[in-house]
Amino acid sequence: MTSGTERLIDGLVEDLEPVTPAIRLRQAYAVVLAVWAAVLGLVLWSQQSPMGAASLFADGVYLTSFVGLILGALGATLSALAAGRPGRDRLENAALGVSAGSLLVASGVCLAGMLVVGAVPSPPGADAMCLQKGAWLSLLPAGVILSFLVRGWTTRPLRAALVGMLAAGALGAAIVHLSCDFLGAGHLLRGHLAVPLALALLGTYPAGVVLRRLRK
Amino acid sequence: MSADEREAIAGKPATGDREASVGETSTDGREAIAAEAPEDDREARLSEWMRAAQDGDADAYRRLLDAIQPMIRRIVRAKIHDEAAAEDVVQNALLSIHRGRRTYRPERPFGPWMRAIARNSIVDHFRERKRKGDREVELVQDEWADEHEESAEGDTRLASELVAALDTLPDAQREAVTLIQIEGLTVAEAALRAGVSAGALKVRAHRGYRSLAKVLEGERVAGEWRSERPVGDAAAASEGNVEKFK
Repeated sequence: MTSGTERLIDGLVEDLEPVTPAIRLRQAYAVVLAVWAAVLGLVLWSQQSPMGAASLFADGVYLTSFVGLILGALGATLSALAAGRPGRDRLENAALGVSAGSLLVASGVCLAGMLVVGAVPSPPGADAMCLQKGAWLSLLPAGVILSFLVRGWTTRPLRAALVGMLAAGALGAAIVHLSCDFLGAGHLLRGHLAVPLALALLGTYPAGVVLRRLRK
Repeated sequence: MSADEREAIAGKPATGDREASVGETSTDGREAIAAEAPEDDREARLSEWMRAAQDGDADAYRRLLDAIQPMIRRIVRAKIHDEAAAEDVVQNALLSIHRGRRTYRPERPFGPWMRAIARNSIVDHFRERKRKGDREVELVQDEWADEHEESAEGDTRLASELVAALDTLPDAQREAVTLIQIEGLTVAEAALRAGVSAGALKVRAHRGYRSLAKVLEGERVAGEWRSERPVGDAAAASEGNVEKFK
């Protein structure tokens, strides 16, 4: 052992304080999903009639994009939470693969729907309204995911932030999806499936900086 | 991303790593115990020590760190052949284990957790080396020494100018430069002392070196620094005889 390393070990032992182990991954996952379910319940309750939920099985593109958003959200959330735990790299990568694949398939189905059925024009401002609503609804899940990442040990903060923002965006978009009754494939792509992308573009850098700073 | 970096991320077992778990001759008793114990026993013992360390047991923590540092060194040395750089990475990994110790869950195996941190320290090393590139500050240390070796007065003046230049630095940069260059601590030790990550300390030190170089160069231009060599020739003259601060 070199004397430098020996001195460092002495310093680390001296610096030792009791710590509470981070909560289990599945518990953290359950917390994020519980927060999301609470927001979803609140939105649907405030709307009185769950418009999107009612027409979920009426349209193939609508259903497929919902499944894509849900799988995308579940996968990205798991991946982001695993990113804060060293040694869970395989889970992190597998979950991210499922998430990205689901979102891509859903987007592809929407594109195909636009080509087959033809571009149905959205009501004026509907795309922007859903996008905005989705982004707002993503903030709470994003905060919860980030708080777990901050308390973990993220070895790649920027990547963890990106996946966390994708997850939060997909969770917010899924709520919007269930509360919006416009079935146009173009609207689903621009107003719903674009939410994770928008949140990732806007939130990754600030969230990455926060993670980097707090890790220090 | 370099091949080394990709390999480190992919987590391929290092050649020395597998051998190490079977058994290794070592003069250090603890190291030998750690290496020769059957895999399951060793895993259980490390896990037990880590659990105790999370509760604040300093003895268990020392045993743990003593036992894992040769393992980490083997993982690192399989990828980084420069001894000094490898030792820096080992220390960074130990520091990361210390800082991230709450993320270890007692019901999970300790080995993968530790190896993931070690691998990431290696990746960080390659990334940083790549990033550093042109940003390194070159100080013509030998030239300065040549200019002043004949004169004790010159040495005194250099010391006083360095002290004055150090005083102009922001606190964080001055602390980083002092810990590394004057107290002679390694980056990881200095980071622990300053209470920041090794990466952050390196950035502070690097900025400090740059500011110091600017201040000292300014003094030379102002004529306070008496050099026989024209100031403008310094960079050209430094070729092949340059000390790079890391």
